[in-house]
Amino acid sequence: MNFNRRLFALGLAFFCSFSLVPFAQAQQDNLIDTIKKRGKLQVGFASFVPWAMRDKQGNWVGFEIDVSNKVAQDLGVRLELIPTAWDAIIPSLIAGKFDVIIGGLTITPQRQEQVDFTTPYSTSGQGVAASKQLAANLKWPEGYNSPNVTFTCRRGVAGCKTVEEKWPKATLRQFDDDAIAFQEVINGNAHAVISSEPKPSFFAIRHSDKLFKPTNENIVNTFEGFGLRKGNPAGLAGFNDWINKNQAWLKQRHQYWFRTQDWAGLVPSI
Amino acid sequence: MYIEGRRVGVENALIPARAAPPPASRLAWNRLDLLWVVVGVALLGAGMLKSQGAFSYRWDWSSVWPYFVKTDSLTGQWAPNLLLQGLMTTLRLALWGMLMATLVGLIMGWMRNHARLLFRMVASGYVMTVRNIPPVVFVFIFVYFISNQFMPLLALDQRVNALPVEVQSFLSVLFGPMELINNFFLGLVCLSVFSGAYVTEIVRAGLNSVPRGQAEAARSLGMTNLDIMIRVVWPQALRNVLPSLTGQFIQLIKDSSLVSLVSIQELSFMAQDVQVSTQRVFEVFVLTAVIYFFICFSLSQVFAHLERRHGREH
Amino acid sequence: MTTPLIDVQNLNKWFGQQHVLRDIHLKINAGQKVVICGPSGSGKSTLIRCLNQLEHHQEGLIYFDGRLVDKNQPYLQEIRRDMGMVFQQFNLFGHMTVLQNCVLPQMRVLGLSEKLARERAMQLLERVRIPEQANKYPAQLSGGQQQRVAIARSLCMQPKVMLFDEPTSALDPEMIKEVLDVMTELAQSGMTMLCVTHEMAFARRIAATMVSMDQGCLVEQANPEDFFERPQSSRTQTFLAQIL
Repeated sequence: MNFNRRLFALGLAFFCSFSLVPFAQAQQDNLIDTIKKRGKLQVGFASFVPWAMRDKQGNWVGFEIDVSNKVAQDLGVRLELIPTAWDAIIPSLIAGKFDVIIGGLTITPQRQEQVDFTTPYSTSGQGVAASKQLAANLKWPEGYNSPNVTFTCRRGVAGCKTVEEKWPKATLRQFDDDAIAFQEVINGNAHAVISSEPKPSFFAIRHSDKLFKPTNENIVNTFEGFGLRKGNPAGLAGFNDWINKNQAWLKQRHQYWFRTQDWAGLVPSI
Repeated sequence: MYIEGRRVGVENALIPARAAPPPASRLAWNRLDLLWVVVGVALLGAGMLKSQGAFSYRWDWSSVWPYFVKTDSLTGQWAPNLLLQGLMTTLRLALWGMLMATLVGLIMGWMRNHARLLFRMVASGYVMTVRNIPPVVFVFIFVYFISNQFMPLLALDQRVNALPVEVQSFLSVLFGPMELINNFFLGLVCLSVFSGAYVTEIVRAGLNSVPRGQAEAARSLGMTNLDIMIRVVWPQALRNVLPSLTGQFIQLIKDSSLVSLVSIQELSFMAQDVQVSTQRVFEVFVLTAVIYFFICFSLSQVFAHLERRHGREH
Repeated sequence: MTTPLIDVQNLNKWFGQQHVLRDIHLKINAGQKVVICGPSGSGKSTLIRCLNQLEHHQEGLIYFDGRLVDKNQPYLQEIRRDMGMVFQQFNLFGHMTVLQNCVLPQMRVLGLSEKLARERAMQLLERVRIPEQANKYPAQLSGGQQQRVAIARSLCMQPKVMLFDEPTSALDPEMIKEVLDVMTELAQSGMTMLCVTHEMAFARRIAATMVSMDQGCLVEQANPEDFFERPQSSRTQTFLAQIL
């Protein structure tokens, strides 16, 4: 039995090491050329309101969808959208399941170690919505830095790190989803939720009986960039080029999706 | 008959059989049961009333239903939307998954008890690995490490695109939209490899449950090893473990939700998207749970019927 | 001197370190009926299981109808076809009806068509006097009926010799007679038979040769009269005293 286990462990180790080899080979020639030759741009993203969401017809709509469409159009190729679970989006990129992450990927130093970011193509902030029932008497922001205070956030977003840095003593609970994180605060089970704007503002308006915004400023201002596999400077340069050329268009689109509710008819939310 | 030492009555007659007294019925309720029910309902009602305030959730089903079936904006007709498409993918994963897992399980179960050491080691190594890794971790390792080896080699999407359109549309009924064939196949293989380990153990138990004498009798009649396996041993083995096997199939349907973690677009993944897009957390989850329950329950009824017909009765 | 149908020369078998068959020499001619008896553990069952290689022997030679019986021989299946075996535990295929039990081996091993196989099966089921049970499953039959089906199944293959491994030991007493009647009729029809049994009255009636074994050795071999009236070996005497 021992012999069996040793042999098996060896086999597994060998197999795993073998499987890591192709990653090294993933750094090839210019990504833009590869995309053009294939005729298809593969974009990875996850559903996040209003970056990407499904309308009532089941089609993808949102800021990132518009951006991806324009990039593909300008490159002269088709667009293939690859919806991916957010937790797995960077491993999926590294595993080669798509070419680029265009999904509101906030630029952070931790992520910088695994992926290459383009120059920012949009900025947003993180905001906090707090429970009127639990947090009305807490002083902002020092009153929130206590073990009795509970923050919630969606697992894997940059906001979770912000809570750990700015309110280290507070308890942080992470959820698979934004709506649940907000619901906890609405239900009075947590003091505050951190999320990317404009969600906190929208939710505070919609649930004004239960939520309020402790401050109208953004807690942190974040920048988003396209995420690319490391080791492809030519590809990076190509995408940077595109972003720089389309700054005005990007700003206008961002305004539409984030500051207005003109698109509210497409999706039955907020 | 002898009563008090004296001979009485007809010598050879036995006491005739009488009807049995009525048994205590298992379907009867008594007053105590009724009391329990009343108390239970009262507690439940009180609990719901109390939580209504704290819950403060506004239910809104009208925004979720269109994600199941929509009125297509182009044709104006009813068309399946995301949740229904996800359901179809789950059903396809379940169907093909059951077949493939059974195939894997039959082969590995046979290897498990084989005379050759190599076969036994391979099969037991496989079962040990899968059963001792949590499902989530297994799915991640399989999809992000192992599948990278063989998926590019298979290049399914390219092969499929080379086929004529009629063949493609036939295939899409069986396997889902052809654009997602890579995605679907990956989820299918992952699920089959995972479930196959449990089916292997069930098959092994089944093979062990068939008395050795069966194979001996068949051998002494001059039947070939293959015939013995296919016609004598396996039919009996599978009949013996039919309940466990069908239980594993139901489990497979529930396990199929695991592959949503690696972005296979089955029901759970679609439910997540819909839930994010509509912000209606509870409605979507409740609807998804009801759909899964319906599938699993229907299947278990089918299997119960099958067991009644073909089980160990004989 | 006719060539014996079964010729066992210097057969030796070990289970691990246990020497269970020691230097067995046995010749059986066509049409001969041999009954093997002895205390449990003496190797009787092992001996007849070696004949059709359900157990493999390590030393010695077994010849059947002039051919060497060995696990590596490609014609082992043909040899098994020509040897019918009836087991203590009947070993009927539980998932098939009685008729299917008899038909399947004929179709798969002899290559007969289903029609012919059925005809022969029904003939033999009549011979063992249970044709009305043809469409029942083994679990629905009594032990005696099951054993008679097992005999019919083996006879369907038209074997040259029938091997019986304690065929009545697992039966309730009231069913032993029906099986022994079938075996007696079979003996009278001229079949070569090799029987391991404790039924001494039956043995005395049908056997041409009685063989007794003890601890893997063939202790005594004689015709029934000499065997029962004047046993030579003390071991045979002890054994007979215990069971008679």
